[in-house]
Amino acid sequence: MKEGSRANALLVELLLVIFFFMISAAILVQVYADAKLKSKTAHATNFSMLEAQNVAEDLYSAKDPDVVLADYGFTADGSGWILEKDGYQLKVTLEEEDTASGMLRTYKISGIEGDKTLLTLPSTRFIPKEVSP
Amino acid sequence: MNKRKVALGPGAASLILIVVVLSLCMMAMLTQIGARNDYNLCTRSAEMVQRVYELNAQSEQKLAELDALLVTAQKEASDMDSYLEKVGELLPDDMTLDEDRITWTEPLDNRNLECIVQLLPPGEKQRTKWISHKLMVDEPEDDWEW
Repeated sequence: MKEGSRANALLVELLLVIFFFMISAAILVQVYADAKLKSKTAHATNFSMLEAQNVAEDLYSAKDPDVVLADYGFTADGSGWILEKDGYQLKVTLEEEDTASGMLRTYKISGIEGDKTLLTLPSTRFIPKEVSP
Repeated sequence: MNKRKVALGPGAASLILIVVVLSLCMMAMLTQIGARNDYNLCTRSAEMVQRVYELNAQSEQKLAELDALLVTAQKEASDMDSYLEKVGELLPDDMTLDEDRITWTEPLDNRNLECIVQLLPPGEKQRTKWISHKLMVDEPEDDWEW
């Protein structure tokens, strides 16, 4: 009888241990998942930043920006050019503004992960035009 | 009468649980701290790069304004000397003319971009040439967020 009650107590203890372990595991899995998500976003931010810088510099010095974007693998859609990369996408939009003596051409290069914009780099260049004296 | 003896004593399972859960908590905490630090570093780095590009964009806009002013000066000047004199008269307060070079500073938060352009002789299509884009950071180390 004494041995039986000891076995019962052990069984109850084991059940309680398993119960608490399950609760702890559930919480810890959430912590790991959150860390993985953060790590993924950091990776996407870092790589999209490097790629966006390369594109911005090339566009600044390009004579024909469309060729540069096509070389990178961008595809044109209604609002700009899109490049799908591993875990993020780059989007390039063009804004042109006429000034008194030329044109301001601004390319906005955005790194996007899902619906979230990670960063936007403006690459602006002033292109002077010849003005007759 | 051959009874099986229970090898696990009372409380041993609880002790094992505590050790295992504490170890897992420690690993989860270290992973979370590492991921958060990576994320903060990347975000900060991206912000810095973004600010530098915004400063460059500002400087190009300023160059466009300056270029319009140079066109006006060219129309009213006959030679290089009178052109430079006219440019000196028309220049806004935040720009300085030193011989044939114009200097100004683009501020954004605690960063400044020192810009220098050279004036090219009148009659050419391009009226200016970039000489310098120098980024100056005015940020004490104590202000860094850790």
